[in-house]
Amino acid sequence: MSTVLWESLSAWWPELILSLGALKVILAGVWFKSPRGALTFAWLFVAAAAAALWVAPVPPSTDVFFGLIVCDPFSLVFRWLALGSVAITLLLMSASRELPLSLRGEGMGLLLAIGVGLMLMAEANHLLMAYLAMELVSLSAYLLVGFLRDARSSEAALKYLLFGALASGIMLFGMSLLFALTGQLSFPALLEAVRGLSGPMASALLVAVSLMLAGLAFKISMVPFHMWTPDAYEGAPAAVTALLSVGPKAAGLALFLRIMAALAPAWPALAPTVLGLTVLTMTLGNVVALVQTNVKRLLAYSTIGQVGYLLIGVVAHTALGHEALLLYLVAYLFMNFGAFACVVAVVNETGSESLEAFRGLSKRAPALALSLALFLLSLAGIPPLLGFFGKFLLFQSALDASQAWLAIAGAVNSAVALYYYANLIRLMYFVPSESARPVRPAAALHVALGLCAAATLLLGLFPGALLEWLSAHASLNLL
Amino acid sequence: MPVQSLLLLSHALFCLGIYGILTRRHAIGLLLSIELILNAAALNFVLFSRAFGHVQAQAFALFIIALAACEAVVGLAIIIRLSRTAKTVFADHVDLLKG
Repeated sequence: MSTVLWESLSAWWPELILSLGALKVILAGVWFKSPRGALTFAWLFVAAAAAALWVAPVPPSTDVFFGLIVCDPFSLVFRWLALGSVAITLLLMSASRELPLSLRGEGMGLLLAIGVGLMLMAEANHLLMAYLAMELVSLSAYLLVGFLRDARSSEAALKYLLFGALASGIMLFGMSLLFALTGQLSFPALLEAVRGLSGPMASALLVAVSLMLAGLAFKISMVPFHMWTPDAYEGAPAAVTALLSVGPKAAGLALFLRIMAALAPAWPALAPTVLGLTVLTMTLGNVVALVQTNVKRLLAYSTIGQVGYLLIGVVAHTALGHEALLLYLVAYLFMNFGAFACVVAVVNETGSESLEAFRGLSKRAPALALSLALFLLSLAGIPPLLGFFGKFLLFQSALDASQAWLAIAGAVNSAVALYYYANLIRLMYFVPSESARPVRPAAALHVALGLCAAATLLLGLFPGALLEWLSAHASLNLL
Repeated sequence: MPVQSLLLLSHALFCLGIYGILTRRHAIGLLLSIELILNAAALNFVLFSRAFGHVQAQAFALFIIALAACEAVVGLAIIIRLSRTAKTVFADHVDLLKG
């Protein structure tokens, strides 16, 4: 018993450090009125977690904590993604002027708790763990969305809470039905039990799995469970929106892949529906984004579109598809956080979130405008940026899985998306602004922007090492 | 107690919860409907953990009870904030965000 626990802990230090950090930072946030103490603690714990993840040994048996959690190479990529999104969000939160100073410490504590939840979502090997991890992320996220002291933020939090709680309730009911059918809770045992089902039990299984997938689809804002996305993103503080548009999407997709691996016999019956919803997701996201006038709302619909591209890797269901998914997630982390860092800088300066606030930005802040243009072009998938390689690999995996029209739908959508990304660039470069006051981003934003821009550009030019690392970690065997 | 009638009860609870979500306008009424759904799932877990002799599922039911309490805390906090800033607790009166 104690040896199992000790072996498990040795593979699990990053999560442990981050959870202790969450508690400590919340305490520091309540204790000190200035957010500086909480910020220092938050960075200390994030750095310690990163160090622990860097040296974390691969456990002798990959399932730790009695099979509740699995620490395999696949989850390692998602743990780094979760830690990366927490670190960049910390930079954005410390620079953002919209968050009330007295609440920032508590916000950072909740942020670290979300980080733990994201890591657990990617590692879950048991229905209970999957549910707990999703709730840890959701409950902290509901609170963070409502952190501003205005009616819009509270409204966004209420909508997010109601939709989210309903989705997790439906998912939970699906899990209970799945348990009723199979009598198993851990993923490897579920796979065995599901293989034995036939006849009416197999159709009942489809009902249970559909209910579960509805909850997951909510988390990754897949059509038709995307309605909360634009409202929650618009009302939330920009730094929190940035986190929501990357972290839970990545972890949700990891959990999606794991659950589908555990329920592999049900996949052929579900694949056509997921395929159709993938095309719908990217089309709806990109088409509705065309008419948006609020930049956070625009990026919310752009997120829905990007999730559509990411789902191509899931639908392709091949090793190449998974590798492409991982590559695009890394690219998406840098380019989307970069774009949101620019939004935070503009909102700090002008207090406005409308697209008009970006007019003439090239004169007021040349470096900021240039980096935002870089991120938007990468999101649109223009070579030689990192976003292009991710998209290219995703479409390639669709072609290899002989789903050519999925690749065609993706390509058409990329062309549509280019219009609204280019429109923002046009506003920055070719439309004069009323005010000529220069925009000076805070130091933390400079760090975030520099990091994201360097990664988007350099990894795009030299993707070799990243590709090698990812293909070593992608695998079809997720149990 | 036969499994069938208890299964019927848990499904009835689930459907009541969904019906409540679709018809209630008060935010607290909506939260209560969600609690019904969570309890339907917990009932299923307890019922089948007994049928299969599976102890972990009973632990699952305990976790559901704890998390339902957390969700109620977070939900009520958000509703109190909403009633202070937007001066309403009716879900169809909050419509600042759209487009």
